[in-house]
Amino acid sequence: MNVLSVQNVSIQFGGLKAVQDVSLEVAASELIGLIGPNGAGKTTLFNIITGVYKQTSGKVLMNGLSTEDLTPFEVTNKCKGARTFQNIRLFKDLSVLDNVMVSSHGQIRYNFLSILLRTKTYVENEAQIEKRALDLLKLFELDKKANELAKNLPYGDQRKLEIVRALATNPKILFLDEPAAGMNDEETAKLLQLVRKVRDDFKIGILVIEHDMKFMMGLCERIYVLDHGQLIARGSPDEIKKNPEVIKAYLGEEEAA
Amino acid sequence: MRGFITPIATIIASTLIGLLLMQVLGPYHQTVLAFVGINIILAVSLNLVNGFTGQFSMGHVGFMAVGAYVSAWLSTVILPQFSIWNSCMATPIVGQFLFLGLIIFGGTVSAAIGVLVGIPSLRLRGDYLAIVTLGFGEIIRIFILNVDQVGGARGLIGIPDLGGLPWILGWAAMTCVFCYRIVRSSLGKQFMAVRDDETATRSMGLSTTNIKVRSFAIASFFAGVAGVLFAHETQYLNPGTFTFNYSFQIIAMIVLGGLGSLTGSVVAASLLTFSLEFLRILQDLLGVDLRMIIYAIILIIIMLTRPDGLFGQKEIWNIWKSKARA
Repeated sequence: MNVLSVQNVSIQFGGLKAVQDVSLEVAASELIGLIGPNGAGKTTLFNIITGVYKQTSGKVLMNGLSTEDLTPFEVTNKCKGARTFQNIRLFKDLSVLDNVMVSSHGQIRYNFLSILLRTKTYVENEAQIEKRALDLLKLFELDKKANELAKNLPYGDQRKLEIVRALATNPKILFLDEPAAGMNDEETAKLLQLVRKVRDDFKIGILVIEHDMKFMMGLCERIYVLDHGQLIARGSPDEIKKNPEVIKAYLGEEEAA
Repeated sequence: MRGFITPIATIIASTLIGLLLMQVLGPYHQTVLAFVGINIILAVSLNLVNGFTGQFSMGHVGFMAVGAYVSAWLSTVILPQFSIWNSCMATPIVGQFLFLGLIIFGGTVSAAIGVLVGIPSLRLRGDYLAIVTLGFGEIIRIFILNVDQVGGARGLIGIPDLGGLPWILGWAAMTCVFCYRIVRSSLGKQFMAVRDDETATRSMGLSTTNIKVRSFAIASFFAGVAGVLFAHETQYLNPGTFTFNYSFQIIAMIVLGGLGSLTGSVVAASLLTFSLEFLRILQDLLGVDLRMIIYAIILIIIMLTRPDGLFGQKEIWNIWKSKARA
């Protein structure tokens, strides 16, 4: 079953057709890439999928549920899709552990009154949430930094924490918005391992936006290419590399001699 | 069961301290201390909204007015019409229990109004929210000014003398305990998540409006409680007390103590309330009223030397710990 299916989605801002008639699918535990030059409409499509923008036409089904009429937080809760951000958006004044605990809100089983009285339910539930968060952090080797403030982490760890935080919501599909932005080659290589690990350990679908071609070719099983709001190619990394349309979009047209 | 120990111990301790102070101190000092307690309740609860949730509310005293007037209207105008209430009040112990009911009722009404005001206005951010809450505080005041049942501009007199220091100190302590427990829970950490990044909070599957309204309702509840205590301590209510001037004073306290530091609010609320009183002595010596000038200078100096407030976002014991380590 497809965890995500985007069907003929278009969006128009005034006269600008930012995304036109785009369709794509992500199956469970598939690693899919979405590439395209700057301004191709990648992030716009992402925002439609996660419920930030409403499409002018077409349909988005996530886990079989239409995201139409859902606000972003409902998309995460009901459709089980979580995302990271291009410009890191951590809860910077909270500790690493708290960042993960806040997004584990689906595990909360106590009510408000039990906080005031510290009832047994509250204490046990809270301990269980904390343990789950620590386990998640351990998987990504962040458990030693659990009590540091998120803003004090090095850049690579902040990216990592964003992924952990998204995973804490128990998603079926994960959206990564330019995860390699601002990273050097070494960090990018590490990130590649990390994303693979997430897919293998959690068996979830992952959709990555990125314009680092090398990174994407190494990571993804299938790639969609977007240019000027339209899907110009789709296929395996090797097919994409050879596709003349893609080369044209990225490098420009060859001049006739 | 361990969770009950702190609140119960706090209640017993503050009651005993309150009773003791009532024996030792004269009426003037008792009143000053009562205002310190009330301001602590107001500052700590407002810090939940302004400091922890990052929403700038300027109408906190409006909610206090709701609690004060609702309870005072009940205890002076409505309930004395029933002989059952009067005979119950004749027995001090029963009267104290009824007062507890009155406090919780006043707080609840105030929280309900907090939810009603919060749902539309908390969709706004920053300056806009500040203006709406400021407006709300004034609406409450003007409304009360025009209700003859509670005395209008003349004020409401003859409010029964209930509560006193043990109640005020007890609630001040309980407010701190409860607010601290709330911000330490993962439900309470959602407040800080909203403060740090609303977009990210939403994308984690949390409704930011719900979280903000929740924080607003809790703060309004405690403001209402402060109002009930205030009404039955001063035994006289006047709409002039609840101007935005008072709201600003509370904001000054939480900014001074540190937005996001509960102990900071307690220290700053005590410091500012006391200093306004102690400066009276200076006034007697000099013969001119320099109180507000010196008060302002103290504020300026502290904000220049400690721009994040006294404790920043830390609690007092965290600062001690880091000092001890260094």
